[in-house]
Amino acid sequence: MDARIDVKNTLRDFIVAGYLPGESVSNLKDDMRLRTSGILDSLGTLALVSFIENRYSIVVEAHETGIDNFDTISDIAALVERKQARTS
Amino acid sequence: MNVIGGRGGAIDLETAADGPVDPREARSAPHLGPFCAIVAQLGLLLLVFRLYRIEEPAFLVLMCVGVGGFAVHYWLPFRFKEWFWIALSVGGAFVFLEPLTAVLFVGSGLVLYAIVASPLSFAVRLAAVGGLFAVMLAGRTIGTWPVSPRLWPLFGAFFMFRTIVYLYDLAHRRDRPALKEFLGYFFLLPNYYFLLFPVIDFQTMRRAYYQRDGHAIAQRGVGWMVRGTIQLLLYRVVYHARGAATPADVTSAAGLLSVMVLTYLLYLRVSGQFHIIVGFLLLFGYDLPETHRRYLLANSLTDFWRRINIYWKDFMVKVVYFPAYFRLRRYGERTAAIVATSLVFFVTWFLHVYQQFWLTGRLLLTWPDALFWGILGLLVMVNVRVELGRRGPPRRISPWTLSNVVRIAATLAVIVGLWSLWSSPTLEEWSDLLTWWQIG
Repeated sequence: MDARIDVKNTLRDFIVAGYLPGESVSNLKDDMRLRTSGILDSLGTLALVSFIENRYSIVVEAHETGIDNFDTISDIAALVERKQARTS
Repeated sequence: MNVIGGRGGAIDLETAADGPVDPREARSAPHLGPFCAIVAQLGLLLLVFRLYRIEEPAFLVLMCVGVGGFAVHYWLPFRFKEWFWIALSVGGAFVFLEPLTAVLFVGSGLVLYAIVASPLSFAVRLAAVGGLFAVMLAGRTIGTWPVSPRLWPLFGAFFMFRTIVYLYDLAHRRDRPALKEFLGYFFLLPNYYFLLFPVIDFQTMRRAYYQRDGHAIAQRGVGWMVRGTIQLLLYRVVYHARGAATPADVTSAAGLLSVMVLTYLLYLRVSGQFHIIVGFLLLFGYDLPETHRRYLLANSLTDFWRRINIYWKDFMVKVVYFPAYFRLRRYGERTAAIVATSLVFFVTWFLHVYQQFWLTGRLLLTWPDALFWGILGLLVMVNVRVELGRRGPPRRISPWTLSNVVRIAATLAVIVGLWSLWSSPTLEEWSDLLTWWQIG
């Protein structure tokens, strides 16, 4: 559970720094819609994919970038966790 | 926490003494006060539709069925709501079509379900779906089969794009597709009237179902229907202002500019209809995102692409852009992005032709159409290249600074120019439009 919190915080920092300049990190909640709200466009999503692949040594497939896995910080953290569990 | 997994996202069930509780049940709980407020607003909307003769008469029938359906749906227990929506939507076939056509239409949808739900391998199911579409396309092409000609455009409107989305999601699932989710996704009541329809994403639709308070969802739906109605009324003004302008009617530069801008603003009809369609679906608990986001204020062509017909953009990103990008990224990020972007616009052009064939029975292979998508695609590619080269976070541009206003005006000018090309049946007519006022 601590690991997932770390992942969420790391994602939050990345997204705020890259796509919500001037916004407070604490305002970006775990369940806030990133894709469907327009915070992350397609290029932003790909940048996030690249970030988590490099940071967590996982490989994300195209179909895993859908709304189910890539619309909230909670979902993305869960995806990272699942992928890490498969590779370990 | 127990979780309902599978298509459409996980729903975390809260555990109560009697067992798991679906939070959507509480979100959809009825209350008389809010119900009356929403129904009153819908009643006013119906009055506006009636008084101002918004759309064709069948539209008013659709809206009356929808409002009546909402009133019943609202008070049903949660476990019956979606089945009621399905019954209303499937039953809509028998309201808007002759009985035999309705049976054939619903039957074709059930054949599609039988294929996708079969235990065959995905490749075989894909081929079988292709076979079904080949048969329907043959019927569309030949046109002399003993069925109503209304069957073909309706089949196309309901299945031509949503099947692509559904199959894409199905390719990555192991579980058998549920009939309820299939019917709820494909049979959408407003589609009987609106053949031009937003490409609703299957995952988004499932995930959005009562994802927050039902009254808030329904109220947003009413709001979007109001927005759509205003746009349809504005469309009417634009339509009459523009008239049936031909190149010979343009006698000055100002006249040319006026015709070109008004031609672009005819798009208000599409955006108005899409707002009404999605607002309608929100009434039944599907908390879908907006279809257009102030596209007239786009400050770049990439921004324009992201604001206008957002559902189409998301559809292309999902089934074309991301798959292409992920396959090509070993050649570098920029190469992958540029090739994937060009593919998106090529596929958009192709699917536009495909859609026109289903809806009209004619192949729209014209130079203006091809050039429109080609030039727009090229310009967006350039924009993407620039965005990828930019370092640091995106600049937050205040919308009303002078520089942003200039950017908006420039973007609008390009779009208006391209739109006039797209709206011309031939290149010669477009050329005449641009030059007649000078040479007479």
